[in-house]
This record gives sequence, structure tokens and C-alpha cells, in this order.
Amino acid sequence: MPDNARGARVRRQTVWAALLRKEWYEQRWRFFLGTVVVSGLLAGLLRAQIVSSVEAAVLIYGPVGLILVIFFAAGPVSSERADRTWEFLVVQPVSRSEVILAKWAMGVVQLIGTMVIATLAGLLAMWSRGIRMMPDVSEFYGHNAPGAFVTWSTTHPSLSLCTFAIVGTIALACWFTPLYLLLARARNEFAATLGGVFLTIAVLLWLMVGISHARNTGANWFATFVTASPWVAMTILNPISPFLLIIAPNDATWLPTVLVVDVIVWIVFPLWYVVRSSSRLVEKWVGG
Amino acid sequence: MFIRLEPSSAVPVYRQIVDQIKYQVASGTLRPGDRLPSVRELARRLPANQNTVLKAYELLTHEGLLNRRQGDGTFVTDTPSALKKSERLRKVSSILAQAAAQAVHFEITADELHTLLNEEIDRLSPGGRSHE
Amino acid sequence: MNDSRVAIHVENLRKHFGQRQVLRGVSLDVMAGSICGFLGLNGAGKTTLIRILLGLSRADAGQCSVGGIDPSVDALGVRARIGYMAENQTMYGWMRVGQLIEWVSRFYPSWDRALAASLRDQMRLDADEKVGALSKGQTSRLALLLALAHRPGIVILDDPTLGLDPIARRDLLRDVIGQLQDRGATVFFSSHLLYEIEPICDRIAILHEGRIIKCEAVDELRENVKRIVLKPADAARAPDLPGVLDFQARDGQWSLTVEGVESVRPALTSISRGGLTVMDLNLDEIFEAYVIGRREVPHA
Repeated sequence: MPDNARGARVRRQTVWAALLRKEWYEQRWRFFLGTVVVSGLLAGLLRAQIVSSVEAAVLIYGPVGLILVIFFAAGPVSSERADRTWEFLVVQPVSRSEVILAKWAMGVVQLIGTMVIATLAGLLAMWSRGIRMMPDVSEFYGHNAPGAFVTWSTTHPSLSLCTFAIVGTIALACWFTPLYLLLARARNEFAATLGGVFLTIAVLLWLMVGISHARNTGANWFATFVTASPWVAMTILNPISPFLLIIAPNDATWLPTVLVVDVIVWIVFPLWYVVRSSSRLVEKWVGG
Repeated sequence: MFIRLEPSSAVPVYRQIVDQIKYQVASGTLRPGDRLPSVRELARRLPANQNTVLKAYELLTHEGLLNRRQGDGTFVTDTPSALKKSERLRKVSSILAQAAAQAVHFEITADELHTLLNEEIDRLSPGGRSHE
Repeated sequence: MNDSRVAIHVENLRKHFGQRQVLRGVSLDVMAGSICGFLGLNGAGKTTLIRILLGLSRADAGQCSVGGIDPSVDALGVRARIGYMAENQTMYGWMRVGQLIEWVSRFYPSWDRALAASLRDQMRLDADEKVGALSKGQTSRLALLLALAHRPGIVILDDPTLGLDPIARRDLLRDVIGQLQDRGATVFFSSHLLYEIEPICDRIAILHEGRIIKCEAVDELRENVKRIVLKPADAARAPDLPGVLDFQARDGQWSLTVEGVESVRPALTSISRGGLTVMDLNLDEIFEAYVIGRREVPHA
């Protein structure tokens, strides 16, 4: 009966709305804390000009962003388990898929929201000092400086920050999904955070292998990491990119392709899978 | 009407209800014409299963102690027990058999037993259902 | 079995966790409108069975249906139509009582707001109080409210009185009778406090070593299971005795807990010095006999 089908859909929407609202109320402290810290950091760095805007961007959309991802990914499911409210939630007429998906959605939205606000704060900080020319970064980056990009970042610092923001946020969101799904099995937030840190470091090391290969700089991975920063920032934590870096180390044209592939593999596919699957695998994975 | 269920008792619940109502009627706590709580009320009060309370009420109704009037409720009858005298004697004698066994065991004489029995009946008599 | 009078139908359910076989072919029928008590030792598999009925877990084999719905096919449908109250359920402490009720109501199409409000009054719960600040008794009343407010036809309670003080326990049982039996709802009720649930239940089901070893009306169980004490003649050899649940021998006396006195009375009378004493038992003793009774009767 069409009526029943429509009624059923409305009911699922009500359930969804209820789940999302509850997630927001419960987790909004993460959003506020993250926003304040990251915005403050980025704005502070840019205003004080301790580092160049490119380096500030790399820092924020790189390591700090990673910490933020762990913060957003490790929290929702594992804290619910530790508080034992997970059993209460799962016993309601909701599937575990819907629960996981709602938490994922809220996490991604909060992550992106934080980065957007941080970027705005950064822009404001830059503008408050006047948009000025950046120091010649080619000296800093030496012969490894990707030429066109350097010009871009020196002539249009605001736009380069925005580019970093967009690319970096997408990259971070791509890492959010698999991390979130992996950590969803954890029984408490501390274990999840620890797991998140380990996984992130593992993937970073893996990335550096690729970069180091590409740059042929041998053992000095940290220097490699720093000098490759713009690229790292853009493709950070993309498990595919080390391969690409090996294949075409200095070619920037693969970047958009990589990003698209990232989004499909790490955001669209998991979402589709969780939504369309019989949720049996989700149940098995998440358990409880 | 106050009924107390003994927890962990070897006596079935319906039996406890029956026995207590009988005792209350015999001792005059419940007088003929008194209205008993409804099955639902008593079940909720104890708390006990409604079917159990119903079973107790029906048993007492069958024995003639209670009278269920549709829509009105359950009342203590003012008519003598509908059971035949022989049946009534049989029911009491089974209890007395236990008392007799105890008495023999405790070396209490038949006369002493008679005295005790009369005392008990006197205690109940003032308001209760007496011999007819 | 498609009998509409059967509210919960379980047929040969099996479930293992790793090496351990928890349910070894559980079969059970709970009639609509009845209150069925569910007994078993800790770890016997009661919670596992309930989780399978709720569709939270999947059986390895066998089938079941709750209110006509198969939980392995439509778990959400089952959970939307039954009320469930678990032991020690932790609810969102940061929500207020009113908020929590409102939130849970979104999940149930058949939620009755008026009933929820009236239950809240009856249970003396303050809508503005934080759930985390409630006492244990209040928390369990709230959990019961959430289980009842959508007017389910079947209610499953998993040790709901755990950790409650005696007054709170009694209140809860009163609500079970007053709210549920009144409406003709089916109640499936697991508990450890036998003396408490016996007056409430129509039938008792005993789960032991992965199977339902007994499922009977309470009064029938009491009628059938009795203890016989006798002093056997010297060197008496115990005859073939069917239905012995527990055998104890002490100081020259035998105590047998049997299922069906009449089938053993003649044999026992013949070997007894003096007569037989037949004793009634309470549910604890009956339960013990079934689950930890020593079945072997020594032959000489």
C-alpha cells in the first residue's frame, strides 16, 4: 500500500531526525572545543606570522587536523559503549546501521564545520595584518619547491589558504570515515583514541615511504615530510597517494584525480555500503 | 481486606488466599454481605496473577462462601455453606488428622486436645459463622 | 505453528559463542495474554535467548516468532511492537526525563503520549529532573514506562528487579499486573527472585544447559513435584524409580524429590520401614531439584 510505504518513510525520517538531534546535543562540546582550539591556533599563527601562511596551513590541515579527526572519530561510538547507553540505544527499533551512520554524519559535519570556521578565522587574521606578500619561499624549500604553486601562494595568500582548506578538509574527511569505522569496535574512548593515534601514525609512515621514494632523499623522512608539505597537505593520509608519488612524483595533475578517487573510496562507498547493505555486516563489525 | 502472601511458602498462592479469606470469614473480620475487592484490585494489591486470584474466588464461590454478582462484585454469602455436611466433615477431618498426629508426637492427650479445640472455637465464635 | 494465540514461538533454537554451545535446541511457546516466568542459573542462556527474540542476535539454527514476526527477518518490526526492559539499563543521564520520553517516542509509531504522561504521574517521575539524578527505583520505573507507553502487545522483562530495594520491586510487579495483565498483554519475565515472581506468573519455563527442561503452569508444577521422605529398611535396594529429580540420603533416611508421586509410591512403600511422608515444596526447591538435583539413586 502506498500509504504504508510513505508512512514508513516518514517514520524512518523521524527516527533519523531524533538520532541526529541527540548526537548533536551529546557531541556538540567536541565541535565547540575543536573550533575554538583550531581557529585560535590558525588565527594566532597567521597573525603573529611566526610561520608563513603556507606552513601554518600545512600545520593546521595536517597534523592538527589529524588530531581533530581522531578526536571526532574516536568519540561518538566508543563513549556510548563505555557509558553503557549503547545497549539502550540498540534495543530501540533502530538498526545499527542507522546509528552508526547518524554518528558518522554528525562527526563529518562537525569536522568540516570546524575547519570552515578555522579557515575563516585564519583569513580574518591574515586580513587584519593586511594581505601582504609572502617571503620568497623558494629559499626555504630549496630546489624542491614546486614552482607554480609557490608563485600562487605568494601572490594570493588568501586563495592559497582557501585551497589548502578545501583540499585539506576533504583529505581529512577521507581519513575520518575509515578511522571511524575501525574505531567503532572499541569499547571505550581511551582505547579508541589510542587506536586512532596508532593507526594515524602508521598511515603517515606509510605515506612517508612513498614520499621518500619519490624524493630520493633516503633516510631523512622528516625533512622529506616538511619539504613535501604542500603535497602532503593535499593528499594527506590517502593510502593510494604513496603509489602515485612513486609513479609521478613531480606531476601535480594527478591531484584532482586522487581527490575524486579519495572521496569515492572513503566517503561515498562506505556510506552506500552501510545504507544499502542488510546491515548484517555492520552488526557483526560493531557488535553489541 | 488484608491478605498476606507468604513468600517461599510451600503452600500454593491460591491456597493461601483461600485459607486467609476463610479464616477472616470464620473469625468475623469478614461479615456476610461484605464486599470483597475485585479480582483486578486484589491481584494488583498483593501483587499476584489475576488468574490465581480468580481461581481462589471461584473455589470459594463453589464452596458457597462467596457469591459473585455480575457487575456488582464478590460478596460474602450469608447463607450457610452449600456443601453437604459430609463433605464439610471430610475437609475438617483431614486438618484434624494432622493435628492428631502432632498431638500424639508431642504426647498431648485427647482431653487436652479437646480443650484446645474448644478454646479456638470460642475465640472465633463471637462474630463468626457458628454452628447451625 | 501459526496459532494466533501463541505470542512467542521458539522452535529448536541453537546458538554458540566460540566454543561454548549456549542454546542447544530451545523450544517454547508463550500464549497470548499470559505471564510466563523464565528461570535459569546465571549463564544458562536466558539473556542470549531474549536477544535472539529481539533480533539483536542471530541464532545458528531453529526459528522463532514474536507476535507473528520473525526477528531474523524484521528485527525492527519486532522491536517496534514489543516492550523491553533490561536489567540495569543505563539511559542518557544528561537528558531530562521529559526529553528522554519525547526522544524515545520518535522511534515508536504506536506511542501514546497521553498514556506516557499518565504513567509518568503514576510513577511519580518529575519531567524536569535529569535522568542521571534519578534513584535506581525511579530509573527502573522510567525504563518500564518506556517499555509500556507504546502499548505493546508483548513485553519482555530481563531481570527487571535486579538491584532494586524491596519496595521498588513490589511497585514494579504491581505495575506488571496492573498495567499489563489488565490489558491482556503477554509478559515474558526472567528473574532470579523466584518467591517474587511465582505469584505473578501463569507458567514457568526453566532453562537449563541450553534447553527448556520444564514449561508448566505454576500450580501444576507444585502438584506434580513433591518430596518424599522415608526410612528404608536395612539393606534396601532402591527399585527402579521414574521421575526422580533429586535424591539425598542422610542418617538412614532417604529424601527423594520426584515428579509424579503416584508412580513411585508403591515401590517406595514396599521398601520403607514405617510410612512415607509426602511434603509440598516451594518454587525455589522445585527449581533446585530440576537444575542441581542428583538424579542417581544408588542401588544398594
